[in-house]
Amino acid sequence: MPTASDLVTDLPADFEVFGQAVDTRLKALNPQTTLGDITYASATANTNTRLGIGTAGQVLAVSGGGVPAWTTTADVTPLTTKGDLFTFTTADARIGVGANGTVLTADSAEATGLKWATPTVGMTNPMTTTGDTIYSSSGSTPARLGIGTAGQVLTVNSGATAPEWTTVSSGGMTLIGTTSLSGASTTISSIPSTYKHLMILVERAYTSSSDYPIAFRFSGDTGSNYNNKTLYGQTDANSYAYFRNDSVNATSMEIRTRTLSSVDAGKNLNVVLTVYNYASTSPRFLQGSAYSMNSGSEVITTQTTGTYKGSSAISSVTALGNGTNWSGGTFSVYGVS
Amino acid sequence: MEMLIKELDAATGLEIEREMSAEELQQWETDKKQLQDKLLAEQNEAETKATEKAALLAKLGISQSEAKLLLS
Repeated sequence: MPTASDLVTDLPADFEVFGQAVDTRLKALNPQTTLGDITYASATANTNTRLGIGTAGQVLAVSGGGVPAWTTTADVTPLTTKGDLFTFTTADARIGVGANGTVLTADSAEATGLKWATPTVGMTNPMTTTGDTIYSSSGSTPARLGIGTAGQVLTVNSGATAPEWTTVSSGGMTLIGTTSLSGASTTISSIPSTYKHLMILVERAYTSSSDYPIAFRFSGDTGSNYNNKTLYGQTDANSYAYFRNDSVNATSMEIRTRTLSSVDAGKNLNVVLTVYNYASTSPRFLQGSAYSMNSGSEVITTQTTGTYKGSSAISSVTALGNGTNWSGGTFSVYGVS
Repeated sequence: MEMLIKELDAATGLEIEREMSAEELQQWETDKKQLQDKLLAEQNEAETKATEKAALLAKLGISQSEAKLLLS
């Protein structure tokens, strides 16, 4: 009979010995003896089996005998190489790292559904310099437009085919060129075609021989391409005005006036001649005014209108002494926007 | 008289003064003659007109200033 300090290991058997029959089935339920032991049911009814603790890292698995057992697991990762990616086919799988610059791309033709591929380039960047912009030179072909100079604005080119940087016209009149009059003729050349009209100005001009009319020639054109009509006014004892100098198919644009052969600011020749649409190749309208005094101190004022029918845009203007030499004065050409 | 030509290139600002070429000199002579012919023709026309005017004034018996007054 167990005492109060005895460890009861088989209580039913003890009681049976004591004299009273008891069910001894419980004696097989706790077979554990050691820290970490676990218990599982055996094939025998009401009898558990002790499974001692496994070693560190082991996992509980079903053994070949169909009972729990501590098992050391094998590494199941499919990765083998630096850069591998874990993926799946019908089982865990690896996709090896792709070549430099390639990107992971879905591909249903691959077992993993993935592949490394060179990315498709949407557009080749033509820009090379700070400030560059991109435009289409044709269809979807990208082209580079280099940055313009300070103050320029983006406009469409003359052919309406591409953008370009353009200097904004200041509006009004822009001085294209100015020089002093000298020699048999004085020319201002390299006139750009970017303006609307030209204004030609002769100021305080005088010639080596007096009382000469002057003339203008455009782009060196000596052809019979100049027509004009002049309203001529002269103040003298008679003080008259009339139309004169009806030039048809002349070889220059004559300004019927009279020059002095010495400096006299109040009497020397002043002329303004406007050429409308000078860059056109159609006949251009000319409008001019002149003021001077002749050697007889008679005031001469003329109003001239005409046309120039040369076949090219005007790129130069020549002030002709028209039989004499220029001795002084200022010759200027302005572009009118 | 020197036959010089002056040219200002508006694009570069370069100014030059040079002698006329043979072609330019020929053109200058042509221009001069055309002008002289024109002036001569105008002078003849003016003289003819003046003669006719004087005759008309005489016919009307008025002076030039009186004619000018009538036309003003």
